[in-house]
Amino acid sequence: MRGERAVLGLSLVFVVFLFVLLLFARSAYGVDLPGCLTDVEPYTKGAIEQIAANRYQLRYVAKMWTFDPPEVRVPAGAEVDLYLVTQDVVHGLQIPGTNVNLMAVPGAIAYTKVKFTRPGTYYVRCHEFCGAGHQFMEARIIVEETSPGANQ
Amino acid sequence: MSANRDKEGFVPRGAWTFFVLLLVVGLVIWLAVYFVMVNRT
Repeated sequence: MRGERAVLGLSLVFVVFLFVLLLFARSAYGVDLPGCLTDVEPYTKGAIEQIAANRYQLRYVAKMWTFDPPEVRVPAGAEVDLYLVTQDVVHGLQIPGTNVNLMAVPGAIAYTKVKFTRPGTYYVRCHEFCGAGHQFMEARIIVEETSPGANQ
Repeated sequence: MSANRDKEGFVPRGAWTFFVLLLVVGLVIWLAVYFVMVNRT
């Protein structure tokens, strides 16, 4: 009985410790779970728009087997609000090297926020098998060293 | 009599070792993923 209490107590401490670490990551580093908006009409055309200094709104449309827009440019340090919808089947969106990992479900808008600190080319890939051309489904985000506002 | 005495002094060392190792391995795997996530921000 004493041993069981100790195991339960230790497990509880363990779970609370991991939960506190998650809360710390959220407050100190801005790590957050992706959201899903179901109360607004899904848009039909992809676009990028600057909404404030160094802040962009990037709206992706996923469809067999492309992302619209296929290539965008943002300056290094840009904060991007990323939205995703699908026009046909379920797709995924992952940007390797970042925490972006979204699912595009028909009828819903997936949302997450990402900050591109390092210049370079980021590849946007579909990670949910969506048919014969799934492996070719890719877009690019080019993060430029300077010249903010040079968008497609 | 002696069987009862053995029962009273029994400590499940194997179970404790397994449990602690389970926590340690779980913690190592969880923290590895956690720091990958934090470094990407």
